[in-house]
Formats: sequence, structure tokens, C-alpha cells
Amino acid sequence: MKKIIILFITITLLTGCYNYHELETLGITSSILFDYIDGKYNLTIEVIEEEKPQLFKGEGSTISEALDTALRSSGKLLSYYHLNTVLVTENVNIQEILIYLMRNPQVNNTFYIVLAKEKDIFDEKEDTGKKLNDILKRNKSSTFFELSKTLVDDKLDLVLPIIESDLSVKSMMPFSNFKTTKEMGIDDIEIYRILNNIGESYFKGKCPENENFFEINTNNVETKIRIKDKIEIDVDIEASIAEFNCSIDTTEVKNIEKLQEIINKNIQNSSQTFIQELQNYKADIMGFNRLIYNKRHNLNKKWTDYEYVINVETHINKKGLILK
Amino acid sequence: MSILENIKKDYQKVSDLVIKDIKSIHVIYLETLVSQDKINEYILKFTNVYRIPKDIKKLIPSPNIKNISSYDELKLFLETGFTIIINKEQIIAIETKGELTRSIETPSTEPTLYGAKDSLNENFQTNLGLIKRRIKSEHLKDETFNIGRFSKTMVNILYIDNIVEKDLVLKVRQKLNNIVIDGINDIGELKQFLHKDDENVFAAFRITERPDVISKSLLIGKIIILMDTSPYALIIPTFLADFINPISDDYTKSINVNFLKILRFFCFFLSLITPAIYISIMTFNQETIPTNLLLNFQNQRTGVPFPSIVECIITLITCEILRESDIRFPSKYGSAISILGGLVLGEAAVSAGIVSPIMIIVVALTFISSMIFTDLEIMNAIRMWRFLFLLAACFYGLYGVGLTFIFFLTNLASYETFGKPYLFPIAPLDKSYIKETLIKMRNKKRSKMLSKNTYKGEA
Repeated sequence: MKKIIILFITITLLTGCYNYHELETLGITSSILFDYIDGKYNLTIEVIEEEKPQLFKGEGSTISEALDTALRSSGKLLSYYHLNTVLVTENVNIQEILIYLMRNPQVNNTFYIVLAKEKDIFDEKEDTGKKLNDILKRNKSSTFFELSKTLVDDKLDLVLPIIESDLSVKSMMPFSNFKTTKEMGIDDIEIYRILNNIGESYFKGKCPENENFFEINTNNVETKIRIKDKIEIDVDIEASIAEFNCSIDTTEVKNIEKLQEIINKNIQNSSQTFIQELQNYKADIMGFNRLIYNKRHNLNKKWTDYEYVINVETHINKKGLILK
Repeated sequence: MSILENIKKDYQKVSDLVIKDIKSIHVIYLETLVSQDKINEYILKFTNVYRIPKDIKKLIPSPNIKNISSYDELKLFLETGFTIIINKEQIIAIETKGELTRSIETPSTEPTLYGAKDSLNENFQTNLGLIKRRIKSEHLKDETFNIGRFSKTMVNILYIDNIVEKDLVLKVRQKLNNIVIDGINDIGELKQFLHKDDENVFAAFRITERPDVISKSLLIGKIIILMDTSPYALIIPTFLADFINPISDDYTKSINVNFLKILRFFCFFLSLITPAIYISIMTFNQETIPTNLLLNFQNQRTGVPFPSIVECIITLITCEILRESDIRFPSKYGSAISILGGLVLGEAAVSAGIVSPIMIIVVALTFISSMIFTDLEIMNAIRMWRFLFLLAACFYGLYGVGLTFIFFLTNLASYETFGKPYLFPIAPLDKSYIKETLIKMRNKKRSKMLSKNTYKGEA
């Protein structure tokens, strides 16, 4: 009996309490902003305290040193378990930051990473990190968990959304080997979403008889990429009509086929220009290199050397209100 | 010396011994144990004859007359309320017991909405009668033992002959025969002789005061122990699954009952683990709950001077004090005392800043879910394990809770009562016993662990 008591006391007192923190001593961070000026990292950390955010700023030659100087005036330990967003400017080396966040075991992986154009985004009255999180969730961006594939796979490139000063998402930035290239606008965002089947998107087409426009919503998209002498992309779209200002009769099948052909041509042209631009920037965000390597087991002919043939087929299943 | 002189010598300073000499017979009884009406009716009326015959049994119309052959037997019958008649060479004993017990009342510790509302009494004859009203068969056997040198209490084993396992009856009989003790007061004291007391925290026996519970257990193949002067009965052997559900489940609709059974099973684990998980989330593993909840907890804990662990222990111990005092304090002095206890725990502690409000919700949830079990032994066992889980969570967090859970399962699974494993319908899987206790479904067979006669007849 004595042995059991001694064993119990030594085990609990000598090995317990490995990670013990009382809840009041923790500072829960909501967002971090990384910047790189004159060879030094500048960080801004947003910590939530009694429903009000507090901002801490620091600088240092490494990330850890910058964090340390930022927390000189706070009484709390940082905890990254509930990170909402990570903001990054163009000066920073993205790969180092991604590796730093991935290596730390006490970071969650459901936050979003964005490129910020300006540094004065934080609002002292509101929780900016949470707001950005909600905005990006509605825009269906990918979380850190999905972006970390680009770190592991060297044949896939990163793409990040860009935040304006009023917290709106209007453009995206593809990276080529973790270096910034050029911005791409809203039309390219829509094509990127259609080709990858990310949520619902819309597409415009011009009426065959008038100068007016009609608009479709895509419900489901299936893309198949086949690699032969040329790379063939087959896109199959199920759509429904959202807005209709033309004066043709939608009860006849011929007219619907006309509309479908208009949409097919539009999407084909836009995708060709999109892929041409990506080839110019050498940013492989669609993952063509990976597919080529999987099939041929060598990269003698890279994705920039191929020609692309895109076939689009739309099926307008739901027409909505039909007026004669 | 003759027997009469022996009696007079042994019962010298006993004030209630009465010896009447009528013609040629001697009538002996203890005044406090007999009823005077019965003695008048059975004996004294009929002894008014000219000559008393050689066999006095022809004269006396009592329904229960026993022949006595030894002096020890005479003393035993005298002390249980019989009247002894010595007629030259013949000694007989006539039953004339007085009414010294209360009437049949509603069950106080196991109330239910539906079902019979009679409960066992301190009188052995009443108890046996209540059981025999429900099982009318010649296969219901009972064997008598007299336990205690001074108390000589009558203890009976009840079982149904062609259902029960004979080995179990042999074991119980052996253990009861080996008891040497001065006196025994209640059936709870028998427990330590039948099974080792300090092997495990959980109880090896189940106590009940309802005759319908007793008749149900007899028909499955269990053994019942009844004792004179005790209003409870012991059921042997018991498994953990028996404690969780009350008897009124058998009397209501299956679908509703199955939902409640799942709820009770869930409450068993809830009352064990809730404080431990709360402590480990607040101090070690803050990443397991959503952000908004965590911020809420942080806001509520501002101003509280103690760490969470100390807070938890303070509230749990105060609640145990409240529960214990509520049982002991007689309710006639007013119910204001328990209201005061509730106020102390609730409003005052929070507004004085000693305890945070979320702590009170956690502890209230724990106690409410532990009140589903009516058996006191189970509540005490859960309390022991609750403190052990809390201690493991204080030092190791969720990892400690996991390790302690493994320890808890192995401890229960290795516990055996009378050769049967404690986690019976789950650990050796047995479908027919699961249909009796854990899920209510139509059951056509008895389980093989308890009886060799598995044919039950169409339900």
C-alpha cells in the first residue's frame, strides 16, 4: 500500500501540469499583419480583450523577435488557437511565413490568408479579423489547410485574394514559385471559379436580336482534363436563367440552343485568354504540371509548351418564368 | 431436573415469563411477544374440560402446532412468540404471535408512477405472503437459517427450483452457514459476509422493497434473501445494467421507454465526467471549443480570485454537504434550510465574486444527472470516480481523463460477483439479457448465464 501512495505522489507531482495556463492569462489573437521594411519584419497583432480589440506593434529581424517586441506592453501570453485571418503585404516572402505557421503546433488551420494593399485596415472598435473571416467565407476562399498543399507539392502554385481598404475582395494575385506576379480582375475570378466548381457563379451573354444582355447562374460544373498532343479541357455546365431581357420565345428548343451556343462561345474565349495570361505569368494555379507528371512521369514538355483546346457545353435546365 | 425447573432456572430475572398451571398441563409464554386474544381463543377456552386427554393436539384447534423434541428448540419457539404446553411427556408449541409491526405502506425509496404500490414490511410472514401472491407455484422454494447467537434472526433464501442454477444456491447456503456473529440488525450487515467488501467501489448487491421487482428477478433466475425485522430484500447476483432502469419501464410503451433508457445511460457518463472535462478545457486544452464560447468564459471569470480547479472543488464539496444535510435533517423543522443552502450556492457566491456563474451550471448539471439513480450505493460510487477524474484532469488535462477512463473500464470489467462478470450483458455479449435491461424488446428466452432452463414461453 505504501508503494502505491509513493508512486502516485511522485508521478503526479513530477510529471503533471505540462501545458497549464489559466484562462485569464491567455490573449486570444484574432489576426496578424506581416510586413517587411528595410530588412526588418513589422508585425501588428490584434488581441481580443473583453470584446474589444487591442493592437500591438513590433519589429525585428526574425518573426519571433518581432513577436517578442510587440508583446512588451501586454500582460498576456499569446495563443494562436483561434486565429481568424493572416494579412500579408507584397514585400514579404510568403514561403517563410507559411512555413513558420505550419511548423508551430499551437496554430489552428482554419484561418484565411489575404494580401493587403494598405496597412491601416484595423478598426479599433470592431474585431477586424472576425469580419474578414466572414467576408472570405462568403466569397468561398480556401483556408490555410487547403493552401498548405502548395507548400508540400512543388508543382502547384499559390493564389491569394486581395483586400482593398474597405474590406472588399475585387481581385486575386497568382504566385509563380512564391513570387508575386500581376493582379487579375473580377472576370478572371469568375472563370477561375467556374473551372474549379467553387460555388455558384454567373455569366453574361448578349441577346441574339437586341443589344440587351441575359444572365445565367451555374449550378454544377464538371471539368475533365485530358492530356494528349494537346491538353483538352471539357467543361460541362448545368445552368439556370437568372435575368432575361431578350425578346425571343423560350418555349421553343431552338432558341434555347441558340442561347446555349452564345454562352459556350463566351466561356471558351474567356478561358483561352485566362490560360494565356497564366502562361505569361508562369503561374500554374490550375495544376497542369502535376497532371502531366502523373501521366508521363517526366516534365520534358512543360505546361507552357502545350496548346489548349477548350470545349464547353451548357445545359439550361431551369428557365424560370416563361412569358410569351 | 425436569424441563419446567430448567426453564424457571434459566429465565430467572426475565419479567415477562408467564407460567400457568391448568389442571395437569403447564402453559408457558412470554407476555410481550404474544397476543392475548389468540391465547384465549386457542388454548384457555378449550382447557375447560373434565379430563385432559393424553394427546392434547386433539383438543386444540390452532392451525399451526409443532412438536418439540429438544430443549434448545423449546427456547427458540418460546422466544419467537409461541406458547408452550407441557402435558406430562408431550411438549407442543402453538403459534400465538402478536402484532408488533406496521401495516403495508407505499414504497418510500422507490416510487413510480405506474405499477403496484405495496412494499415490504418488517414482518416476515407479510413479506412472504406478498411474494407468494405473485408467484403461485410449488417450485418456489425457501430455506430458513437462524443467524446470530443472541438475536437468532430468521433469514430465508428464495428461489425457483427449475430455473435457478444449483451451484449458486450451494454457494450462498455455504456462506450463510458459516456466519458466526453476536447479533444482526439489518440485511445490509449480511453483505459483508457474502462478498468481500473492499474489492471495488461499486455494489455487488441490489436492495429493493418492492415485491414486483422481487418476482421479476425470481423469474429470470436470481436468488432473493429475506430477513425478519428488515423491510428490504437482497438480490443475488447483480450486474451494473440492473441499477440503471426502474421497474416501471416494463409497464409503459416501448418506444418512449427506449428513448428514456438511452437518456439514462448518457446521464451516467455525464455525471461522471462533466467537471473533469470542464477543467481540462479551461486550463489545458483551450483549442477544443469555439472562439465565441471561449471569449464568453473569459469574460465571466474576471474578478474571481481562485484558479478554476479550486473553484470546482469548493462548489462540489458544498453541494455534497448540502445533499447530506438534506437527508439527515428532519423535514418537520421546515424546508427553509435547503432553500438557504441553494441561495448560498447560487446568488450569493456569484455576486460575492467567489465563484463564476458557469461553474454553478456545470455542477448543477452534474448533480441533476446523478439524481436519476435511486440506489444510494451507485450514487456514492459515482462520487468517488468523479473526484478521481477531476484529479486526473487537474494534472494532465484531457489526456488524463482518457487514461482514467481506461482505468475505470478495466476496473469494472474485471469485477466479478459470485462468479459472474459485472459488466455482463455488454462484456460477454448476451442478447436476451440486453432485452431485459438495456433496450426494451420482446424477449422469448432467459439468459444462459443465470439459468439452464432458457425456454420462457410465448410473451
